[in-house]
Amino acid sequence: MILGIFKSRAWYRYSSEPLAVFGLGLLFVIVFLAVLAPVLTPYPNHAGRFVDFGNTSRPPSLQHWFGTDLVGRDVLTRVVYGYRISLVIGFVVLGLAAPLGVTLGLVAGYMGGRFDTVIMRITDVFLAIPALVLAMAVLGVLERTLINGLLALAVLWWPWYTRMVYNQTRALRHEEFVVAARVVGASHLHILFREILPNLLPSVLTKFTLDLGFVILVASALSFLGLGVEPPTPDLGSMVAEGATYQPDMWWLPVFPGLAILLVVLAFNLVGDGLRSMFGEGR
Amino acid sequence: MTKSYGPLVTAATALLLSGFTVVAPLSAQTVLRLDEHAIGEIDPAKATDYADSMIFYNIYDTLVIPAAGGTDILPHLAESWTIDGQTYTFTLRDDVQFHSGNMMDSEDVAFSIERKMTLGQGFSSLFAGVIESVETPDARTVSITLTEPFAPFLGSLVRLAIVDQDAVLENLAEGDYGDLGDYGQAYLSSTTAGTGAYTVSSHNPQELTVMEKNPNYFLGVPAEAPDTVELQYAIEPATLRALITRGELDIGDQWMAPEIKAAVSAEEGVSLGQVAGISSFYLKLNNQRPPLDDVHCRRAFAHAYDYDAILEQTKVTEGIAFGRRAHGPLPLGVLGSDENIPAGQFDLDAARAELAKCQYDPSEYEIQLNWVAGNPIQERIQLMMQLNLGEIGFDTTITTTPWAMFTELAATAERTPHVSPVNFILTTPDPDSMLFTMYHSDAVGTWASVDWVMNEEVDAMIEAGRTETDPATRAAIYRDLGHRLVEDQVSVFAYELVGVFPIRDVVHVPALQDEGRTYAVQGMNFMFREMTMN
Repeated sequence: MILGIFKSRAWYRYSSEPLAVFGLGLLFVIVFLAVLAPVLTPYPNHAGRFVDFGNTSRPPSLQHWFGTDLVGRDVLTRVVYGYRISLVIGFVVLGLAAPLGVTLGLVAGYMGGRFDTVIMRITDVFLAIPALVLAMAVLGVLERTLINGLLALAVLWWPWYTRMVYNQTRALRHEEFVVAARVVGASHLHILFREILPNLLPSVLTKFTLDLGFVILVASALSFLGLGVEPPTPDLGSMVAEGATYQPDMWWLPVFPGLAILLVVLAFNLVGDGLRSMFGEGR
Repeated sequence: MTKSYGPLVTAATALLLSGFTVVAPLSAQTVLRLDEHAIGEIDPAKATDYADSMIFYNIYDTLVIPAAGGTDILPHLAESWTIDGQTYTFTLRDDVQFHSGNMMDSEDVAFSIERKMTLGQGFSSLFAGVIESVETPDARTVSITLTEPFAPFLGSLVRLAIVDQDAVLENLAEGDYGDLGDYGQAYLSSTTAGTGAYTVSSHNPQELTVMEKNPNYFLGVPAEAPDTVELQYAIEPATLRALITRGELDIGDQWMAPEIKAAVSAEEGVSLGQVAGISSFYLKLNNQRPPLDDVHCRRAFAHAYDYDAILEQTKVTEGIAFGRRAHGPLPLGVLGSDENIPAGQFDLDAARAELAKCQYDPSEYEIQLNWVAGNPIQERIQLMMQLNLGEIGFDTTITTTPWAMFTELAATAERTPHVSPVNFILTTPDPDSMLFTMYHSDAVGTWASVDWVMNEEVDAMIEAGRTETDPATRAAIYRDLGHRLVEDQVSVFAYELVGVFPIRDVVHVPALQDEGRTYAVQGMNFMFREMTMN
């Protein structure tokens, strides 16, 4: 069944882009590392409550490939564990925001009239408030937990999908295939999700993959303000922010988590590009 | 020949001379650049923070001043004073000129007190309920009558800047104070109306304050002192490090991470200056919030703090550390401090034994360990506490709060975290400024009093220290109070804080670099007129 994918036309198109295949491979490696972190990392206890003041700020060595941090924890272990939380944050936030934003954008763009006015004015209000301020306001009302942090980020992200999908839907709703579907008596639901949505998927998926990187970065800004992931849970963004303080003397503190963020964002981008060309040729 | 060259030689000489007269003062201009955390408040009635105090003692003067290296109070704007019961009569100097050119007299002193108390901000709490009346029998005499005997009064006066009444009254904006408009708040938050050795030439509270030498300073400012001072705010740590390395910043702030201070001090031309004996670092325990309202649980926490390991962490270089072993609440050297107060001991067995006597079951509580964003050492300490408290059965969460949010949380006991790290630096040379602010019931609700002690007996001892005027008896009262606070374990007395500052060798700062020259007041060690530029 799974192997069947590799024989499909879609995969054939996807695999014609070597970079996309590389991105997918990279993503698999990252997910593999994140899932099996407790088995693969050299010091899994360093991802939790652990302090060793006798072994702080050591540069990379055979014992600690990425060095140790300011309380003596293995940076390699914490980077790999950092992927766990980053991936969870990225997928959960966009998993909530994208479907909501896309649905609202489709409805507003296709139905027009009052739907358009109400939905898009609300969207404008959310877009008008600076993202971090909005997230901080949400977290000011809710208890400061990781779950609520994810909710706050989702609240801040959906309007961008609504805005993008709305514009494209407006352009598509008078296309012949939509008119044809309406003529043969297709329901609104059918037209929205079976006729229009498939045409938007490439841009939605591309934005989704690009946004994964941004979400990870914004989440780290929230952690720095004390509104997101709390210590000692490893978080790549916080590791970069803290490590940047000690430049250039302890280069290993921000460089490795920074590279880790770079790789995960790169992987998502390459996959996004691959998906786009796959859909592009299939349209 | 001689004749024809004459005019040329004259012209050349004239050119050279005029060149020298123009160039010489320019090349002699010295600029001192230093940094501190934002924001810089320059209105003396509002100044409280470190940056504010650094500016305060340069642009304003006070009636009295503490002696360098001690706690004696010396004459300054007042040349002498007499104390008759509760009435303090000051005789002012007659040679003090404000930046405006106005001469200082007793009316200015009365106005400054009135303004500070009416605005009710900054360190006005030092005098709240203390001053009954202020009289000015003549231009050089001010007599201040107190409501009751108040021993810290003279020391508190180091926080009372004398402002130029006429200049303020000429620059009133609209405000809530009737005829007095805004009481000069807009004016004094952008410029100076003081007598200080420096004047403010530009001021942006988030970025930069520029100060220039005052040529008419009543004590004179030595030629070697910096001509211009640029105090910069909120520089990113990595940028700060680069600026010092490149010679573009002369004095770094004490909040830089020890690893960075060590790195910059290893560079050529950079050394470390220190201020000891005026500040301490505490892990404040919320005495009102279960399970820490039980003294045995608090003692268990104090035994879970690894004193030696953290002192080791405070080492910047061999021989210089920003932490020293603490003996109770007061730094050693302050009136009433006592090295016989036992230092805390890290001992998890003792912690478990105390916990057994505590009325609460640790498994029922989740302890909130807070740290203030931007203070990496605090995070390390809380990670250590989390590990050790876990060993004795407490579940904990570590929270990070920006400073502004922390001061907000501190307003109520319910929202104050269980454990909050706090640095406290003496705000006057008197121990009362530390003990009252941190431990008296009337002072709760601020970042400094997040222990929420609220104990009548402790209040009574603090009040006894205020009304007793004999220094020896006062010292005894404060010693007893120190023992009592340790017995009650109101806080974890973590370490005495030593201010460590990276200093480039272009400047010499006696208060930070010479033995016995430290002033026991926050910010006063940055009096630029005492510094010499090389």
